[in-house]
Amino acid sequence: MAAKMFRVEDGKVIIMGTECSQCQHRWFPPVSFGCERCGAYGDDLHARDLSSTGQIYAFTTVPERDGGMYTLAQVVLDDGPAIRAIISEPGPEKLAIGDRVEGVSDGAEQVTFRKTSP
Amino acid sequence: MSMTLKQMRPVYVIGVGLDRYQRASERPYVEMGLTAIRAALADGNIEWQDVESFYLGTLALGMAPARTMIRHLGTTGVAIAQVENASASGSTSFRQACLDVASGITDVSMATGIDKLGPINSAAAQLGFDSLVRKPMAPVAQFALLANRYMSEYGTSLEQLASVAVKNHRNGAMNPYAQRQKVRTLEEVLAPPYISGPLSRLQCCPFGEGAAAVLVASEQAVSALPIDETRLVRVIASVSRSEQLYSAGENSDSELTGSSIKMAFEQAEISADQLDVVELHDAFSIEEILYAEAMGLCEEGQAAPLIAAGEFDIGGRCALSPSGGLLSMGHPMGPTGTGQIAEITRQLRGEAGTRQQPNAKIGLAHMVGVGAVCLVHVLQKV
Repeated sequence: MAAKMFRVEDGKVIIMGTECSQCQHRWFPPVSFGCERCGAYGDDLHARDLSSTGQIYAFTTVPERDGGMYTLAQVVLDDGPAIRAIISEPGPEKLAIGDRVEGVSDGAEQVTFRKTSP
Repeated sequence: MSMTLKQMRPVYVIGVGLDRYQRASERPYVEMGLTAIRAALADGNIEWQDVESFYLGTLALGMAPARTMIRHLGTTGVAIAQVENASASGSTSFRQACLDVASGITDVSMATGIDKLGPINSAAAQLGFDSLVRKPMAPVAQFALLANRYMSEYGTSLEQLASVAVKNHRNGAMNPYAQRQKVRTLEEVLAPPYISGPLSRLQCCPFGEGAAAVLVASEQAVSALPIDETRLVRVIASVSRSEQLYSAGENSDSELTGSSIKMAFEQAEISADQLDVVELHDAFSIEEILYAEAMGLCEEGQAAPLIAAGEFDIGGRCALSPSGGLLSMGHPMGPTGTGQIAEITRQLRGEAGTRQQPNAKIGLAHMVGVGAVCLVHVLQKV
């Protein structure tokens, strides 16, 4: 099991990222072996909360073994990094590139994203 | 000051051989590999005893598969090494053989790629770096995302996207070494099942097994050995690059390919419009479109309509994936990049039969691999 990647505060999903204090590069998932941009490591890297709000860069449907289907998206977070996420609502026919989305959690293990604006 | 391949001792491809790519079978890899190796030796008209170094690109065979195989050629003490670089393993195997000859360490070297369909251990997966997506996500999903973005940006139709697979299956149907040797209509390519997003089954490469072998030699070896000098092909660029950090949202696959190709063109002292044949990493139809543009074969947004219009057919301005590419010839992993060199070599010799691109003089082979890495080689008819 990997390190915890999100938490919920006041009903909002916080994405737990990492930031480099040398070059301000931010990334997700939170892996702190070294900065991909400048190579800084150790104390130069620190945890950085990222807002779960962002924009859809691209999305696609992925069939599942049980005959179901989910929508996968690349989301560029307002706080910087691009992440992969499941879009839980609406369905792909009502999604478009550029849609605003934010993370939602059932409070347990899973974060999905939903569209927040028309 | 570092040197390019072209500035070192000239390297010539003198022999190529393949064992047909196919679905997983019970055949031992040793038999598959020896078939390709003996074919390459016969093609180059040289003896195994002349080979001074030997590389084997593979992902699934496990530790130390080379010696277990080559002992059946008669032992010579040849230098051997396995090469792993994800999907580009066979391309990297070829690069290592070229570098041996170029440096002067050897006069004759052999690159091979051999694989069986088997479990592959990914280092990244073992580290356990996770994502928010807690569902199975095959590599195809990444390319479905790229397809979604590209098609939305340029208004590409599903039919234009599928035309890549129609062309490559038509080419592969003429290739006796291809895994898929069947002409497919647009309707057949567009038929379900869809593996992810707009990518139907026939727009995704088949996995399987196979073997490919390529012999390279120096000028000295060409003079000293009974090699047919009218069939020589020279390797005029070799580029090996790994992914850098790009801006969020940038298409890293295209960026990596674009910068690697630029270096290859500079080394070879050519431009995109001089390419007659190109073998590229078309594991999924969208990739051929993206990489054709990243190579500068056409303007951004133009590759899909141009491919649909037949501009990149055999006989067109530049034959793209004349072997059938990964989509039709197949993607057995280890062999794929080495097999591309075999196809380019046949094309430049004018020995590609019904797949022949008329008057082909310069060819390029391109592979990408998970990680990500990009390998590019440019070959020229002598």
